[in-house]
Amino acid sequence: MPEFGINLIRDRVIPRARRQARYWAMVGYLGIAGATLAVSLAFATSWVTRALVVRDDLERLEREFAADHPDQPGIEDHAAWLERSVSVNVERLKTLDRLAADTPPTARLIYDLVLTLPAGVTLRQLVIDTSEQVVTFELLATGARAETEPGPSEMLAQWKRNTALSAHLVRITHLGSTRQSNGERNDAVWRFSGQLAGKGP
Amino acid sequence: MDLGRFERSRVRFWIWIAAPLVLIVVACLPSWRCLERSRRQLVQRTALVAAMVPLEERLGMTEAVLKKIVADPDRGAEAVDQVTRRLNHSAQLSGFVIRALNVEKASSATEGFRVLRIAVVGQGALPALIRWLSELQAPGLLLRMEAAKVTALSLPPDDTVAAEFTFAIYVRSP
Repeated sequence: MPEFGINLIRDRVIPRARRQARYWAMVGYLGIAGATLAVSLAFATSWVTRALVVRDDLERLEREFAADHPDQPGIEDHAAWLERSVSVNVERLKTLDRLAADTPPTARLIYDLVLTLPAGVTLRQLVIDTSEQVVTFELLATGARAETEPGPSEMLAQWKRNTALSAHLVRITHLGSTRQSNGERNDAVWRFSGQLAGKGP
Repeated sequence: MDLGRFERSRVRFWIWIAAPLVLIVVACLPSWRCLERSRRQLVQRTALVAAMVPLEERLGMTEAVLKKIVADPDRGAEAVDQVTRRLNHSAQLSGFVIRALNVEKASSATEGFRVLRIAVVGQGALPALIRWLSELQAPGLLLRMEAAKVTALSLPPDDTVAAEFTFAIYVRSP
């Protein structure tokens, strides 16, 4: 069947009642929309006013900050700088704390070591190497003392029991002994090595 | 009751429908966003200002502690003088004699600090040496002993020793 594409209801008139209903529906919609718009504008005005008040508060805050901190660029920059500075200082203090803790208590160590020495035995040499955390020392046993007890092994056992010394010096080992003649006297030199307490493997 | 006012064309009809909605959105959205942004900024700044007080106190505290134990970047020479005076004064008090005191010209750096080293050579009785080392532990700039060598100078009962020490002092890097 052929198609002609003719609008046959083009000239049809919409009934009056229907036109009236659609007209009033449109007017009703526009009335409600207008009222809503008015309320919205009231809200928008109130929001803008409040935003201006908040802005004033913000400016007052910044003015007060600038008065208290005249050489600082702004609140955010200053807060970031503060946080950075505090964390840098805390790291520095931690480093210093570690360095101070790693410092050997030399006075205490020498004092405690000398206190343990029996009569006739003296400190001949003491070397502290903090990079290796090693202490080496030599004791001089004079004359008859060199032949009698306590010898190096007894002294090692005694140091192990000595809590004051082992608080600073641990793993003490006997490195060797040598004889040394001083005039008519035959002395002995005992060499030891130890690790600073709390350091090393 | 001229319906043609609204329905003259389809475009005009939809303009009548959409225009009030668009006006509502255009009026409300920017003002609401402006208020929210301002409020957010105020809350953020107020919180920052409140957080700054404890941070400033903490910074002041850490600065005060640091100033007591390490020298400021531009006061390295002053710190060396201060430590030298402390070494000499402690030695005088304890009866230990300082024979030589050298400040190494080259400095090294470690974890945010410049390290200045002072080599000290001295002589005295062993108890005097122990007293001197104890005196040095008094509060002040951190004086870290890096190396020590104590040697008896003569046979007992003379307890005179010669001692060599390397001390390190710390200067804050800028």
